[in-house]
Amino acid sequence: MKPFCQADLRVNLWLIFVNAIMFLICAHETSFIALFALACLWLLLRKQYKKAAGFIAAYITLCFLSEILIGIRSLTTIWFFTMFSRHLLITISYVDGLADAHTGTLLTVFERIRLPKAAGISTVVLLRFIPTIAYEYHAIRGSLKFRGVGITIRQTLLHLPKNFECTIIPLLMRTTRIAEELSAAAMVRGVRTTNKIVSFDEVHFRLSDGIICVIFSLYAIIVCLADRLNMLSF
Amino acid sequence: MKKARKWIGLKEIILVALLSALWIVLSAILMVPFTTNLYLAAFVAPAVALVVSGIIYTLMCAKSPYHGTLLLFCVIEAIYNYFTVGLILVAAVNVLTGVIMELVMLNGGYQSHKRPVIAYMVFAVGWIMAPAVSVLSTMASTTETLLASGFDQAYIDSVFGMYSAGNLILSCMIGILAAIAGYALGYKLLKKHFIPAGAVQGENK
Repeated sequence: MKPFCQADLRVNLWLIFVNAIMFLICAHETSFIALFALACLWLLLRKQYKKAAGFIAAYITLCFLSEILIGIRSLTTIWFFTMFSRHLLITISYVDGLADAHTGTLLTVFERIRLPKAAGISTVVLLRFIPTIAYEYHAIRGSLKFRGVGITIRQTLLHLPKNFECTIIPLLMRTTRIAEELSAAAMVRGVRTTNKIVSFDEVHFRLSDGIICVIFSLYAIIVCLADRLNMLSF
Repeated sequence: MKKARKWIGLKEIILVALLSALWIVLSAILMVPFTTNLYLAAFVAPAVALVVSGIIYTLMCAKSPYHGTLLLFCVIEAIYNYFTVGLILVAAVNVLTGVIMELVMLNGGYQSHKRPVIAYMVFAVGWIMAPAVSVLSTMASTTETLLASGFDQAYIDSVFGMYSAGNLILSCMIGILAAIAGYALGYKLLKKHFIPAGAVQGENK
């Protein structure tokens, strides 16, 4: 039996979908705690012990903040944020593994679930490019500081439109260049061909993956039913 | 004679994906300072994000004037909302917005000057309404939490008063004006930097 840490990515996609639905249906906080416990179990089965500990700490902190902020009208937005964030930790737990998966594996999985190639390519580019934005931004800001622009925060704020223009234009120019390089790399790797994509990593939806999907889904459905029947309100 | 290509190709898919990622990150950063107040977050933050990020939208339309560009832009927004935060309703509204934007751009819309503005206005409305749909759909759980904490219905009504029909219409109207301003600013920056640099072809609009 394949270890849980190597579950097929389609399990992640299914569990994200199931929990997104539960997020809409459940009303009681105890239901969300039950779903969060399952999400933590998922992280522990995938040997993501540090991430699980971090998410538990974040959940407790957000619950604590929510209790403090409730009733303070001027801080209603932050209260909303603490409430939504701790519920969204549940779904984010199941995203673990998607961002770290190999590009070929992600494209193969998207092809197997009959999504257009454009969706797969866009998702991969999105997951890989967001960290690059931070790198490009720091490089551009360093170059501007070297030329005496935006050296201090005060200077940046006093000349905000100019600083914004001097930052965003090179960032967009770099983005168009990166897009050309990426598309050349993708063409060289045969993305444009109509042949079936074969991943370097093995992509198989095994019996163990099916069992995980069924057990986790049944648990979520039971929690949802108990929530609807007000069995989880204390 | 070779027929002019109408649909988006691989190079444009990757470019749109990168520019969409940039749009998502920039709009998220721009909205952070306004999160301390619900009314600022609902009225001012989306307007600021739409105006400032207009250059990204304008560049996207100029560099990829093919059918499917704006739908892909909205689909990527939907993928981001679905995979990062599991907001399935927000993702559905994003996709619907993309479909309407593509319908606006049919029959030479990408070669026009006015229709990208109209499409951006449609995007503004969809982008502003999407989180409201999500908040209203989870009203039951939020109400339950507040009632369990001992607060009365009057306070709960004041919390959700932000999402009244009047406020939503007002924020959509502000968003539409911000979309027009954002496209105008974006087009000005396009003419100032990208066209002289040859990154975008000069147009005959």
